Amino acid sequence: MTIDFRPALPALIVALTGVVALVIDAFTPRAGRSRTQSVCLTGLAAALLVTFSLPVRIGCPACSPLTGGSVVSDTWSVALQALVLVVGMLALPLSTAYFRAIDQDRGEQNALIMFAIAGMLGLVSSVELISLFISLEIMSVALYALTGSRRARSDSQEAALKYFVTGAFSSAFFLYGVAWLYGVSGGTTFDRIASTLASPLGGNVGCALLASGFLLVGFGFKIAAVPFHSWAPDAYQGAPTSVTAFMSTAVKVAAFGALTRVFHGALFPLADRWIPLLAALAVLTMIVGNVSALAQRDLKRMLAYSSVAHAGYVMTALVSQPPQAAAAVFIYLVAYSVTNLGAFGVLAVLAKDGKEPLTLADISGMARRRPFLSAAMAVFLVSLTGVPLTAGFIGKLRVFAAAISADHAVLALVGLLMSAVSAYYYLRVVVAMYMEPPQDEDRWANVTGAAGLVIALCALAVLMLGVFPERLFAWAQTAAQTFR
Amino acid sequence: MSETLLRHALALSLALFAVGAVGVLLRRNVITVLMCIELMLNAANLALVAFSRSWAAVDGHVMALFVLTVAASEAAVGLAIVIALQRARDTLDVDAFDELRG
Amino acid sequence: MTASSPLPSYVPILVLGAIAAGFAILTILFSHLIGRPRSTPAKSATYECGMPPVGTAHARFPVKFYLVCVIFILFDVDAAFLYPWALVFRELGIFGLIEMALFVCILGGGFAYAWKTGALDW
Repeated sequence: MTIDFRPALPALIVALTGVVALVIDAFTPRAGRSRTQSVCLTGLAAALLVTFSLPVRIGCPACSPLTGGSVVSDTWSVALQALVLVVGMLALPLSTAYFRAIDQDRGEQNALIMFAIAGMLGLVSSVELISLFISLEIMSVALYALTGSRRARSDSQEAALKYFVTGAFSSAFFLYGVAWLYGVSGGTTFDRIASTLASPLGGNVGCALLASGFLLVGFGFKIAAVPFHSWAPDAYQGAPTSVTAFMSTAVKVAAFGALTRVFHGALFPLADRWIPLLAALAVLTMIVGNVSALAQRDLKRMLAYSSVAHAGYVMTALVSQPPQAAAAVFIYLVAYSVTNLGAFGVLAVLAKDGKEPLTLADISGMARRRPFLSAAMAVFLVSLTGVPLTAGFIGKLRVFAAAISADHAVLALVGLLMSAVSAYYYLRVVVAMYMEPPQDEDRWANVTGAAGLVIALCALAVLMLGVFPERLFAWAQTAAQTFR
Repeated sequence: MSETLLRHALALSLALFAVGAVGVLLRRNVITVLMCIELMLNAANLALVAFSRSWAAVDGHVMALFVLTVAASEAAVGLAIVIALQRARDTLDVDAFDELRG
Repeated sequence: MTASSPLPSYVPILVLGAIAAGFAILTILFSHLIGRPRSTPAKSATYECGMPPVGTAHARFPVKFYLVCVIFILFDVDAAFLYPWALVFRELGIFGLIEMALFVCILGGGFAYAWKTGALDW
């Protein structure tokens, strides 16, 4: 029996590194200071190397899930796996810095991040329903535990419980959609499903639509699209801030990667039916996310609603034709991940002695004491707003252009209006940092070392991608070759 | 597998799924909510196995096996979170968990 | 029905499913709307008939009990993969052996972690 394991190698490397990290930390305990960060970073780097060195197939003809055809290495999976791995490598130092600041650096969070990344890698490279569902669950279960990993705090546990209950609920919907799709098409590979759905379905079209609906609900929860977003503010606010930084970016990358593949791959024959639905969800998500963010006092909660809104922007791209939609989604995901990771990262690295900035008052006048960090935060917020010369602008430009080209100009219009609304709550933070008087005493940490480097890299990436986007466009073009 | 049997199995599966989904939305005890989620997963399992039989293919059976494992790991993490929260708050009523809002 | 024949129309099942969902929602909704929450000693008794319960249901188990339960669930279900493997062990040959060795090694990592962090100390 010959099975081609190579496409699964990146995920396997990351998962095994996680197991090794777990065992190392259990056998060499050091109070409050894990030493596995470098092990995990090495594992991620190795996986990144393997991702790029694998032979790239475009599509996978004649693959069966039983002979290794359940995950592939195609242009889309390579691009998204690379993005997930880079986000993971940036998130690990932030996580170590934050968990040391709250004195909980036991190392388990490193292993859990590795497991979550392994799930994400599987999610973006799955071309088949079984491995798709299992990858989704590997990612989700690790994230439930990560959310609750601030043991002493009941808000962290509450966030974990809410995330768990809604997450498991949505997984059940997802699985039920998977079951019905299997029933309609008699196979689990996306190719088989697409060819079944392209042929006349007769009375089964209702079942296919029902299955697609269930899948959309499942994905909707994972990407926090309105009306399935209610968990996101609670989970993002209660989770340890570095975990929020990780899950608000990497999960969106992985879930949108899989969503694009499922809806523009397997379910594309039904596109006429699900595009209006997706468009409606996108409008709702943009409006509700942005308007709710206006009313927030807690910075993490504000950024949580903002990341709900950003899911809406990505969804506007999905209404266009496959290659263009995929390219726009990829560009937006790159821009959004470096920006949002940086924004939550700034809040995380300021943590000191178990406390961290929570409100606008906590960071007022920060520009005088921490000019570089404040400048970086300003760059991130401006990019989230979508101001030209930042990555966020490039991302929005491409997703709105995709929507307009598919005759959904109203989506772009709503997106533009809502970006204007979002300027109010993003720039309020910049005003607080730069215009308002500083607090009497300096309660926050001085940012040094790897975590500071990560923030600097993110800010640099936001500016570079904003000023010289050609390279990013070329990557996206290549990544989207899978969808033709 | 006869068509009638398939229909009966699918009807049962839909009913189980509906009961589970309604239970998650309406029940207030965390453990009951967990049980309802398990019910939904098992409804999907039933549908998978029934479809697998009707297509005379093995994929559905394999998937059901994986779903069992996934359900177990989900239950384990869920129970761990519930224990941690119960120690912190001394209640299992989901309505009592309202510290995070805004 | 075989794999080659087209699937039957599932519309009747969908209708049945809708009825099932409707029934589940309606019964729970009606009992909320019609019934008033009246608590009587008989209602709040643990069992309607049979032996009166001894002691309180809120007796606390040591938290270790739950921990062992959780670990048991995980390792117990993984045994489910050993049965199909054992059935086709000869056909899979050395490949199956290596696969299963990898699987057991990962489980072993988890077990070592649980053991070392004291989750198994009673």
